[in-house]
Amino acid sequence: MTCQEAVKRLYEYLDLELDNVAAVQVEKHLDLCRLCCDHFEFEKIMKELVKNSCFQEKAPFLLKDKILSNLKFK
Amino acid sequence: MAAEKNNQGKNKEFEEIFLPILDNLYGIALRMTRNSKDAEDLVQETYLKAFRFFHRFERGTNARAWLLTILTNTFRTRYRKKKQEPEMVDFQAIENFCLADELVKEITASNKSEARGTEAVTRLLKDYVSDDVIEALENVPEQFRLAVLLSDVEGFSYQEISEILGISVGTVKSRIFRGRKILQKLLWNFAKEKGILKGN
Repeated sequence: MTCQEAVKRLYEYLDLELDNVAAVQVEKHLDLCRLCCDHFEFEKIMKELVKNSCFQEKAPFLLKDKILSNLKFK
Repeated sequence: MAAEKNNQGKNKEFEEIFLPILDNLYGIALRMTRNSKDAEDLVQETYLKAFRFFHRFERGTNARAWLLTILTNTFRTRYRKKKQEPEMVDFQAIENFCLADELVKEITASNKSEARGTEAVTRLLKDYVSDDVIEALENVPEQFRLAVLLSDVEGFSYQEISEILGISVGTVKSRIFRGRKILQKLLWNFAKEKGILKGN
């Protein structure tokens, strides 16, 4: 697998969309190529940054009560 | 009496299934509407609709996916307003943009860092504070933002996202790809503007 081919599969690999065979092929390339390995690592961190930016949010305290009282009248 | 008891059972079941994912839903709503008032309204409306159509919910299927389908549909009909989305026109340039490469170039040019590759770039990435990421994310056009959120935050598969958004898997893939590239470009612009890179 060339670097170009590996990078083409980067997102599908990180999003767990590749089947086993394809994922192993990517991993074999990553074992050999420091550059691609760095690139994949970087994108993985980007994914985590996005995830963390949302997970820190908590619904306002009263929102749950509002929702529940909305349902009571239905 | 019997009917009332039935209703109580329904309410209880509904609450047990859907209330534990309230924070989760609110987080997505907030990133989509970009302000807490609209996010609250959106979440309330979503729960109301979910309750109304609760009989259509298949027990044992993914409650989060079901609720998020309602949320995204509601968002699209109600809050997609005023076309005030930032214009991101030059897709060609964006698709070739790679934040990792840019950061590596910057590090190499500054010539100070002995660390190379991941280590240095990771350090730079961590300089982005959460607020920067949020601001950049909220400036990614809606349709791309939603696809990225469903993948990165919710961890849904492309197939699940395609069902939630009612688009093909191919379209999901390209929206996620573009969304991430646009996000990286925006973060890069921030880094330049705010001088994150200068210190390195």
